[in-house]
Amino acid sequence: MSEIIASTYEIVARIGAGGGGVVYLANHLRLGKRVVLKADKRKITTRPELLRREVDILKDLSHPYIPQVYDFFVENDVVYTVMDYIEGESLDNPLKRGERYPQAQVIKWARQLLEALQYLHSPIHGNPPKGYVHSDIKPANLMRRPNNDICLIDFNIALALGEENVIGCSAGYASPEHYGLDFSTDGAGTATIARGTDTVARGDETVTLAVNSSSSSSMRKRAVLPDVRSDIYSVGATLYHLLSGQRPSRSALEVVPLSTQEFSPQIVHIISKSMNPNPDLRYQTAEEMLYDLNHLHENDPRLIKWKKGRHVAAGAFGAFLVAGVACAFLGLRRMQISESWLKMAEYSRTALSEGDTVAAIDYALQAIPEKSSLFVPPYPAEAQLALTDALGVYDLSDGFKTDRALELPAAPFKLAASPQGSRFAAVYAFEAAVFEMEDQEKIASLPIQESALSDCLFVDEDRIVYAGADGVSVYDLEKGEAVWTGEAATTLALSADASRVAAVDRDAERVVVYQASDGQVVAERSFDGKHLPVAANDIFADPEDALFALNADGTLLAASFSDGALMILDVEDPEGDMILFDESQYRHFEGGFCGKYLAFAAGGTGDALFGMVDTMEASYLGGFESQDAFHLKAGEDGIYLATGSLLERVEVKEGAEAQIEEQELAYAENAYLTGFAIGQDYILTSMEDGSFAFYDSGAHLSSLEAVDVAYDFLEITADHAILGSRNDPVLRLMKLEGHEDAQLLKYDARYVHDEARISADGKTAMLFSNFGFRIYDMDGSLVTEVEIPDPDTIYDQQFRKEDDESYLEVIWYDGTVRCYSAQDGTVVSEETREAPDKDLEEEFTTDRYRIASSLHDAPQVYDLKSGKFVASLEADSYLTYVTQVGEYLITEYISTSGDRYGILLDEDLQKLAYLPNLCDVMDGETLVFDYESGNLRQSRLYSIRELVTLGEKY
Amino acid sequence: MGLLMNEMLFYGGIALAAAALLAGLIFFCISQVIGTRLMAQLDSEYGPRVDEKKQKKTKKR
Repeated sequence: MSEIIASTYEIVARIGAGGGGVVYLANHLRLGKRVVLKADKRKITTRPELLRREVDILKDLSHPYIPQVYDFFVENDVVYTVMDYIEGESLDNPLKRGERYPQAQVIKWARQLLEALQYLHSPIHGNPPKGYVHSDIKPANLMRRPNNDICLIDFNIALALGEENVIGCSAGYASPEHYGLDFSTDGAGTATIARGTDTVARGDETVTLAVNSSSSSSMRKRAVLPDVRSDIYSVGATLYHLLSGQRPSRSALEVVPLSTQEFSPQIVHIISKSMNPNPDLRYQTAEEMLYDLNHLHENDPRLIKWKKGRHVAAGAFGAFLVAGVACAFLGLRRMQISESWLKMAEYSRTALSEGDTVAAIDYALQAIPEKSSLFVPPYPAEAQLALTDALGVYDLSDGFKTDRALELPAAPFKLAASPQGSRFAAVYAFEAAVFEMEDQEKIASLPIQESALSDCLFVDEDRIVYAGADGVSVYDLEKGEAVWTGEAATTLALSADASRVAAVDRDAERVVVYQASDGQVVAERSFDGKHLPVAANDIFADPEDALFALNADGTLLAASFSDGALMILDVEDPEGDMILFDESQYRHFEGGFCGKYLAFAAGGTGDALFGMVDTMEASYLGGFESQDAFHLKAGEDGIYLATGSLLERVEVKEGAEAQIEEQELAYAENAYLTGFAIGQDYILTSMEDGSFAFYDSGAHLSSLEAVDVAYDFLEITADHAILGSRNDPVLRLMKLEGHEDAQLLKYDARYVHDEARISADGKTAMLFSNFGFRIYDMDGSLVTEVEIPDPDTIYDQQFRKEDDESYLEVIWYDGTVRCYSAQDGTVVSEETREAPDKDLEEEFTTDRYRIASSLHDAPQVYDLKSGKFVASLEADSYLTYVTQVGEYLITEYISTSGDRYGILLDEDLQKLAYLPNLCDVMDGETLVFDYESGNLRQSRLYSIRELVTLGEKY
Repeated sequence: MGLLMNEMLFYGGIALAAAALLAGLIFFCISQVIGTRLMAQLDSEYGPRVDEKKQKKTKKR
């Protein structure tokens, strides 16, 4: 018959026994469920009221890894604890069979155990801060359930009650404190006396405490109670056994650490720490130990290393990515800036070609920063080139240079310059504007007849006669008021003495002649039914087909008419009229009076005609015809006739028979002249190819500019020139510049030579060609002139400078080499060498480059160190010299047309400046230029900062 | 040289960024494989990782 306990529980079986008592499996008779009864025979000293309270608290314990305590009672002096029946096997049984558990499994159970202890130890019950200490944690007290979870059993109610004489102490699993040993930090490992006497020895799993009395006053007496850290020790020992299969040593000091080869180092460390003899050095709470067990992955060195590697890699790749993006952005920004600067340089060149020097300099300056930095690239070579060209610092020739551009409201019909050149007037739709020549200040705006025929002429510097809107008018520019106004008129003529003005209104059949001073009508003449040639629509165009001119004193008027008639009208006496042509096939006339002569040019469908009439003798002196049109200007300063490419001055040589003589003034190669203006010392011409040129008084070409603009209006004074086009409202204003301050040497310009060189000592200049040479000293005195024999067989000439010695080396094809002194022209040496290679190849070397120059190909530049090809230089010219000046290279060329020039290059072979007429480089830094006017001039190299300063001052 | 430097910075930067991106992608792919294997090994040593939040929720009775 089964035993009934407390009338409630029927003992089913005895399932275990231990130091604390016997464990029975029982049936709860009322609930009908299996429970565990743990009978403990040890004496309870707790007062009943406290006992009841604690039982009630314990009954509230609820955790998945702790069996539920249902009841607690005393019967027959036996304390019974009623708990959940935990199905399964305790963990010690397989250990006894020699089995071992996998590490991962042990860790899982360890976590569950610690969670249970965390719950158990927490001071949530009754009297904080105390929690409950199990005190007997070991594999035997861990049940492995069917679901593979564990349950911590054998909960010692007595200890939970704080009974001091009831302490479980399983060898190997019990902490040193269980034995009364205190290895804490302040205890310094001193063996202390445990309070109390002994414990109950129960089988081989418990140890009887030895009770020792203190025999030495030096030993500290101290009460040692197991606490949560003791449970921690027991957990560690339990894990130790579960993993290794070996129960740890009873003495904490003798526990052999687990092998890190067999088990994870982290686990070994956790167990070692939990089993530290010094409780102060163990985990202080189950939570701490559980934390480490829950973070095994994160704290694993391999994972840490892997993560660290990823972080480092992420940082590195990220840094490279950012660096790459930053570089790309920086490069893009710099490219954009450089691109904009190249555009500015292009705009500068365009503005310069249009004659707007100010805009050209301004654009070029915009492309040159004050300083470069990481974000600001260095300025492009094109910018320096554009600035140099705009400033013209290396153009030391005397002559007219473009000063600036003046934009009118509309394209001009007419241009006129005052006699002294201090002012100029432009006629456009429909206004005549007068400007100061020097600063282009507009000083008058005069409304004119709405016709492209409307004329405007300077009476003198201060008065202007123009086809005013209200009639022909003379306007005083100083006073700013009209002097007089006559009838409506468009076409005007002014006598050379400025006393009379003839005026015709469009195709009217009469002319009125006024006194220029007061507008009194001197005469009116009818054209007898004829009229000047006028376009059907004269609003926008003046074909300029009419000859309409007064002679010097205004007594004769030459006029051409629409029917091809050409007459000289006596202003005051019709009887004195002369009819050159009554009618003709000519539809275009030009010309005027020069003294007593009328010079005229007529053009039509056939050949053009030039003729001269002696108005005094009323005789035709003669002339000539041409297939090409004539351009004729006649005035008191002379008769000037252009046809084809030639411009001549025509004079009448008096004698028995007057003869017409011609003197060449200008010849334009490869282009027909379309217009010209005669100045004091220079002649300005425009050509059909869109270029214009200046010639000096010796008919030498002074300058030529190809601008792709057909200039229809040309005016030139002593030191200014104005060019205008019917199709462009922008006037090109030019100014005469002289560079005598840069003069090095003046020589006879008639001496023909190919090259000019300065001797090394700077005392003489040698001008030479194959035919010979001249040597001048620096004050312009001719030292000597020498003819070179057999010029046709000369292979090459080279001017050599060696230290202070200079000589001209002449090489003939037969190998003869003769050297002439640059001091006095004497032969310093002569020898015969091997016949030279006819390919005429030369080689130049600089610090960085080797430059190979041949006769037929562009010079090739190679890197001096690697020999790799770098660039080609000028393709259409022959490279004659290369001079290195610091980081710059000065390359000298001779073009196919025989022009000499130089190009300044930077260290990357980019063009920095064009050096027209460069002939020599002295002292490695002084440029020497040779001009056809017979001048050798010098200039230094300008740095970019100097150029910028010049540009800003301009 | 200034113009060449601009192009070098721009294209070099693009190349560097592209190379870093590509190398990073390759590295992280390889690293991910290594990491996965490492996690599997750690799981075999330590058992599955503990999701503490989930654990707290499921452990409450």
